[in-house]
Amino acid sequence: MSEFLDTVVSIWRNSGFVGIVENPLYLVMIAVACLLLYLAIVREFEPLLLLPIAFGMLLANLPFGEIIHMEYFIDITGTQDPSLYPMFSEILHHGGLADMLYLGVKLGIYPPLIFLGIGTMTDFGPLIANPKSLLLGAAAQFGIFVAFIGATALGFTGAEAGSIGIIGGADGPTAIYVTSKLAPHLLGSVAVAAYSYMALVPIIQPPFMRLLTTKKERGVVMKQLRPVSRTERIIFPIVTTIIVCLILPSATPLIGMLMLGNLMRESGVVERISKTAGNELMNIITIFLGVSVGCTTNADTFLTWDTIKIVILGLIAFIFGTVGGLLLGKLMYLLSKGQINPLIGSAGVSAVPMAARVSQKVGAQENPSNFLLMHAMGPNVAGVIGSAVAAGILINIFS
Amino acid sequence: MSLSALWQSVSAAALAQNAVAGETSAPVVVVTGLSLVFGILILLYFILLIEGKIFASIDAKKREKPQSESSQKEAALPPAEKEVAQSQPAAAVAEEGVPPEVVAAIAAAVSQLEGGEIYPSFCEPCGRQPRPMGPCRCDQRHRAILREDRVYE
Repeated sequence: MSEFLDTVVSIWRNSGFVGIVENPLYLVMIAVACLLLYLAIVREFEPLLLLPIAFGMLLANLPFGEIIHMEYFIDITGTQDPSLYPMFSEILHHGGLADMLYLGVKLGIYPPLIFLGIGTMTDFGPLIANPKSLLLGAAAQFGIFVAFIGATALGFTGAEAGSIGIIGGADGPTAIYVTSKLAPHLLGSVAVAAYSYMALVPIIQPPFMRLLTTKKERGVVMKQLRPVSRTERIIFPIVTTIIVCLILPSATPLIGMLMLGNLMRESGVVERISKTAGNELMNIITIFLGVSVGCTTNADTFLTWDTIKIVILGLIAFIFGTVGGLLLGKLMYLLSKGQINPLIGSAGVSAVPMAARVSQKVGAQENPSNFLLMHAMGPNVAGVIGSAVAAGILINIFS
Repeated sequence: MSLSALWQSVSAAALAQNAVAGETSAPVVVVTGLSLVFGILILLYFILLIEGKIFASIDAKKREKPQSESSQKEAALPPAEKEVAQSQPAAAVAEEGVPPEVVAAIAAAVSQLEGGEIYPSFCEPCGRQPRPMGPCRCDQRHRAILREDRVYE
């Protein structure tokens, strides 16, 4: 009988409950994970990524589960040689599922593969038909640099500030890619903030869109876009890859994969692999990325003032990104003598196609017969290129 | 200074800048970042602009070619045939996709192969499009006419 009791006591001592009693912060993290699960499932806030991230967070914060060993990936003590990380030997000998999955984040494999899938689903036609959209896509990156200044002012290092600023690009894979390269210890906070704000685009953007535009500007009906030939669509990804990657080699993994995916789509000769990249492969990578990013969040790194600062700076980045696009949209409205609806400028913050839908919705509120969606898709996809370029610049400067 | 020497000095400056990258101040990052983002996207804008103009001129040339060919053909026709050609109904004008004369020719060929009667695509008097292999379904059951004005029964 005593042997039985000893075994039960031993099991109890090794259970997660003891861990929670020892460190109640685990309970807070479990509550945060449940809140994110609620947002993903009930409110449908970016559920494709928020759900696996939240569940990964839950798994990582069940005491003694040891689903991931972050000490193999980053120098927690801050005293080791950074070149020793990631510790491949330790990961291969003692690592588990999440350690293996996290290698894809750490080595920068998943975000470019997601970009490959995004490329197969992106129609650059509206951008090619109206190249001015590229300028709006550039202006909407303003938020990245405003948040960067804010982050440095709040005491973050340049690399950390770059990772926080990139939230303003409103592009999840780009934010994860930059953060995994520059500030891996902030990955959980940055990813959660980025995906949460991306889901909140329909709530964040409209007040600023109404504030910065007049009723007359919002009601502008834009001319129909010209048809774009197949040859133009094929040339675009090739030329963009060559130009961007020659100027900014650090943007090659993101831009290269995005354009490869798009070329596969537009060429029409590799329909099978194009479908695979846009469906099965992207879905698999989304699961891996979400779970492994979620697993990086633990009480010590997540429940800090830094996370709160990141959440606030992320919001600032989104707002200034929207404002940047809208202001350039207004300038283009003036220069074109009322031909361009400034509302399409806010779509430059990436977040495809949510931001373009918001432009359409706000425009339709002024003039129900106004269809801005295709016009807004131009700045929207330009924003994807712009945020990848900004990511390349930040990596180039700080890595 | 030779071009290669200039390139070397620029590369050295770039490498030196990389070496002190860790010390780059925030304003420099912001100015560099925004300039590069705008610079690259403006470059792409001009490339797309030029590309668009090239393709627009190619399209315009393509459109001009068939028009000039048809006007040459028209000029070569005798006056009587010209009048007939001009009196063709608007419905007979080629639309996008497969031209009606091609449809009519295919329909005629298929019908001939099957040993049946030949009825082309358009019914001239009422402007309707009859069944592919039958006469017009209007009250008068008009005889359909090909653009070349050849009558079939």
